[in-house]
Amino acid sequence: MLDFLQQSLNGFATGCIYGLVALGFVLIYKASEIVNFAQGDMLMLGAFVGWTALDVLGFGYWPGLLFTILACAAIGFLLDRQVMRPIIGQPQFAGIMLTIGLAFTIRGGVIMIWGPEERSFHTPFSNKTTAFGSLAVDDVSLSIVAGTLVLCAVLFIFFRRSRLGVAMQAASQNQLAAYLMAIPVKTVNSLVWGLSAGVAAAAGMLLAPSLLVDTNLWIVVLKGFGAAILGGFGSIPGAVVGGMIIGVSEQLVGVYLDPESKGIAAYVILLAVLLVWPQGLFGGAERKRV
Amino acid sequence: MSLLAVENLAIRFGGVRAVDGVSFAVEPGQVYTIIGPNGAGKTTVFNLISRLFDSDNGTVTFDGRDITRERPHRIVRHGIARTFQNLELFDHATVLQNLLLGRHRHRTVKLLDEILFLPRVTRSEVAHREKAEEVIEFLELEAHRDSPVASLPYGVRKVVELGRALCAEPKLLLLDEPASGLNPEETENLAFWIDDMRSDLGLTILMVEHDLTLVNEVSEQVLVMNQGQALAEGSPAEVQKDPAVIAAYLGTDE
Amino acid sequence: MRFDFKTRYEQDLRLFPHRTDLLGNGALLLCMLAAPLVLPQYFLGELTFLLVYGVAAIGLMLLSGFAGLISLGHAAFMGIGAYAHAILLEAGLPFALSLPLAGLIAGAIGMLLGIPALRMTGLYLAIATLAFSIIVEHVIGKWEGLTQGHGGMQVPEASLAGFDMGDIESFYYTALAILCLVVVGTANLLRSATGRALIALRDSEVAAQALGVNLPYAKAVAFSLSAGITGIAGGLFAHRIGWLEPGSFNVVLSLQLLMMVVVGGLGSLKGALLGVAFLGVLDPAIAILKDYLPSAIGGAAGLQLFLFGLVLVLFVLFEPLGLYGRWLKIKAYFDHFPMYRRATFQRTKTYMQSERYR
Repeated sequence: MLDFLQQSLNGFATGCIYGLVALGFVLIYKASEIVNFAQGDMLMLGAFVGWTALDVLGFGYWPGLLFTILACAAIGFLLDRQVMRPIIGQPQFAGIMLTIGLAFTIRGGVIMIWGPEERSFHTPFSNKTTAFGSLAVDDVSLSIVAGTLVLCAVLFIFFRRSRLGVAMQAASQNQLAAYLMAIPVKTVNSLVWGLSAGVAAAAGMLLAPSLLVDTNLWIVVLKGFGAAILGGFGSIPGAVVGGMIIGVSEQLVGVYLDPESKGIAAYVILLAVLLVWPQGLFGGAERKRV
Repeated sequence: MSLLAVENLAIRFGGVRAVDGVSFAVEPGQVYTIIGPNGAGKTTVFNLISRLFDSDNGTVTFDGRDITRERPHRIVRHGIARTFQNLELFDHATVLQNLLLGRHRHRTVKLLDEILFLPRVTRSEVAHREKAEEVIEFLELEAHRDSPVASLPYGVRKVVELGRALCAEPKLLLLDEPASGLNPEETENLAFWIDDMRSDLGLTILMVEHDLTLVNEVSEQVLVMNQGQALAEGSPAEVQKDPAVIAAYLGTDE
Repeated sequence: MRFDFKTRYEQDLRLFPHRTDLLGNGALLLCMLAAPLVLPQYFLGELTFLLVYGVAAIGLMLLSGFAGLISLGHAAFMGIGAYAHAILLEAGLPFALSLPLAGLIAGAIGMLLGIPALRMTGLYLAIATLAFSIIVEHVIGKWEGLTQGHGGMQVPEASLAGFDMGDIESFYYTALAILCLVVVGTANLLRSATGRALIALRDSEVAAQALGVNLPYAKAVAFSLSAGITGIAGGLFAHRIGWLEPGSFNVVLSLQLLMMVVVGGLGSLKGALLGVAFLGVLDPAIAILKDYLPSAIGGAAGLQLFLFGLVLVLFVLFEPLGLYGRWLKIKAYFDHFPMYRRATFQRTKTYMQSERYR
C-alpha cells in the first residue's frame, strides 16, 4: 500500500508536467484553433534558457525562474506576431504543419546554440527529501506539484479577475464579437502565445531537475497530447486532470505490469479514449452549421 | 398521394425546441416554400429531412417510404437532392468536377475497375459527363466549366450548387434560400429556372426563402414557421394576409 | 497561349490530356530508365531510396492531400509492410507474392484503424494516428518471436523473375516499376467517381453526404488504400536498408513523409513526387552548404534539423500549394500570357473554421 502511494505520487508529479504541457495546448487552441506541436520544444527551450540563467549568467533560482518565464513568453509572443499570424483562418492542416516546422527549427536552433550534450540542472530542491509519516518524497517532485498548483491558481485568478484574462476568454469564444467590443484580438492572441510559452518554460524549469537538460525533453509533447485529449482540448482544468491521470497510470503500469510498456501507456489510454469518445473525454461536439 | 409527408417532426437542441411538431405535405409537381423569421427552424427542417440530425419525434415519408431513420448518404438515392444556405461546394475542384460529384448516386462501377480504369469506367464517365453537360447548358454555366469554384463570384457559385443538385436527377429538390446573396437579375433567372425545372424536368421543389417577390412568383403553397412551429399554411396571398403571420413578422401592438 | 480543341469527352478522361504532358512524362521515364547506365552505384542507391519514398508519399498524399485526413503516423504502415514482407520472405514466400501480401496486411490494419477513426475530426485523427504509430513501434519491439525485437532483423534475400533484389540495378528497376504502377493506379482512381468522392470529403463532408457519398466507406477506402500503398513502400524499404529495427519507423519518419507531401503540394500526385525529389536534393545540398558556412554555424549539429524546419515554415507561409502550386503558377503565366491574373491563385480566407457552442 505504501509502495502504491509512493509510486502514485511519483507518477502524479510527472503527470503535472504533462498537464502543464496540455494546458499550453489548450490556451493556444482556444484562442486560435491551432494545435501547437512546438509546445514540447518550447518546454525544452525553457529548460535550456533556465540552465543558462542559473549556470552561466549566475542568477539565483527564483530570479532565474522569473527571467526564463519572461524570456520564453517574449519568444512566444514574437512567434505568434511574426510567424503564426498569416496562418489564422487557414485550414487546420496548415497550422499543424507550421508548428511542426517551428518545432524542428527550435530544436535545431537549440542544438546549434547549446550543443547536443546533456547537462544537469541544480535547484534548491535537488537531492532532498521530505518525509510525510513513513512516505519519503523527494523535493523535486514536491516542487513540480506545488509549482503546478501555483500556476493553475495564478491562471485561474488571471482569467477570472483581470481585464486581459476576460478579454482572452471573450476572444476565444467569439473572435468577431470580441473584435466588435474593441478587444484587440490579434494582440490578445499573441499574448496567449506568450502566456502559453511562459507556462511551457515554467514546466521546463520544473521538469529539468528530475531529468537532464537535453534536447529530447521535447518528447513530453506527445504525452501532453494524451493529456489534452483526455481533457477534451477545450478545458484548462480538464487538461491538468488529464495530465495527472496519464502520469499516474503510466507510473503504475511501469511498476506493476511491465516496465518496458510504461512509455506507451499514455498512447494506449489516448487511443482507447478516442475510440470510445471521438471528441475526447470532456469535449463537446463542434458541429459546423449549414 | 403526397410526394413528401412530414408529420409532427420535432427536435430540440439543449433546451431549445428548434422544430416543435411540424407537419406538412408536398404534392408532386408543387413548388412549396417555407418562410418565417430567422431562427424559426426552417433550415433545421431541411437538415432533418436530409438526415444531418436525428429527429426526436415525428416521421418523414417520401414517395411512400419512411425515411425518418434512413442513413444520410442514402437520402439522395431515394431522389432527394439539396442545396445549402451558405454554400457547401467543393471549393478546390472545378465546376465540372462539382457537377460530376452530383452524379455520385448513379455510380455503377467498382473500386477495382476504377483503379484499373477499365473501358466500362470510361463509358460510365462519358455518360456522367453528358448528363453534366446537359445541366451546364440548362444553367448556362459553359463559360465556367473548368474554373475552380473558389475563383467564382457568389452568384455563379449558387448556380453551380443548384446544378450539382440537378445532376443527381432528383424527384424532389430542397433549396435552402436559393436567392440569398443574388442580385435582382440573378433572382429573375432563378425564377425562370425554377419554373423550367418544374415544367421541363418534372421536379418537385421544396424551398426556404426570404425573398417574398420570388415566393409570390414561383410558389403555390407556403408554410409559415415561427419558433419551431407551423404558423399558417396556404397560397402566398393567403398567408400574407394572415394576422398571426403579420404579428410574427412585425410584432403586435398588445 | 495554348488552345485546346477537343471533340470527344474521352479526351478529357485520358491520363495525359495533352500531347505535351505525354512528352514530358515520357522523357522523364526515359531518363529514369537510363539512370543506372550513367549514375555511379552510390547515387543509384540514393535514387532508389527516393523511389521508395515516392511510393510512400503517394500513399500519404492519397489520404492527406486528397481525402484531407491528416496522418502523423504513416511510418507505422511502412514498418508493418517492411516487417510483414521480411517475415513472409523468411517463411519461404516468393517476392512476387510476399510484397503484395505485405501491402494487403498494412491495408487491412489501416482499415482497422480507419473504421473507428472515421468519427474523429482532423486534429483528433492526427493525434490518434501519432499514438497508433508509437504503439506499433513498441509492439514490433516487444513481439520478439515474430520480429526479433530490438535486436533487429535481417531482411532475407529475394529475387523476382530471376533478378536478385540485392543487386542495386535490378532493385532500382523493380522499385521504378512499382512506383509507376502505384502512380497510374492512384491517378486512375482520382479521375473516377471514388477519387472525386475523396476530394469531396476533404472540402465538405455534409455536401458529400448529401450527394450520396457514404462517408464511413469512403474514409475506410482512403485509409486502407493509403496504408496498403505505404505498406508496399515499406516492403521495398526493407530491401533497401537490409536490416530492420523498430526504431527505423519512428515519428521522425512519419513527419518526413508528411513534409514531402506538404512541400510538394497537397492535392497533387506530381506534388508528392516533387516533394520527395526536393527533400532528396535538400539533404546533400545542406551537406555542401556546410562547407561554405563559417564553421561555428556549418559545424553545428542542429543545422540540418533547423533548415528542414525553416523550409517547412517558409513553404506553409509563402507557398501553401507547394512546389507543384508554384509550377502551376509559372505554367499558367505562360499559358495565359499576357492575360495572367495574380488573383487566380489567391487563397480564400475563412475565419474560425468551426462555430463553438460552449
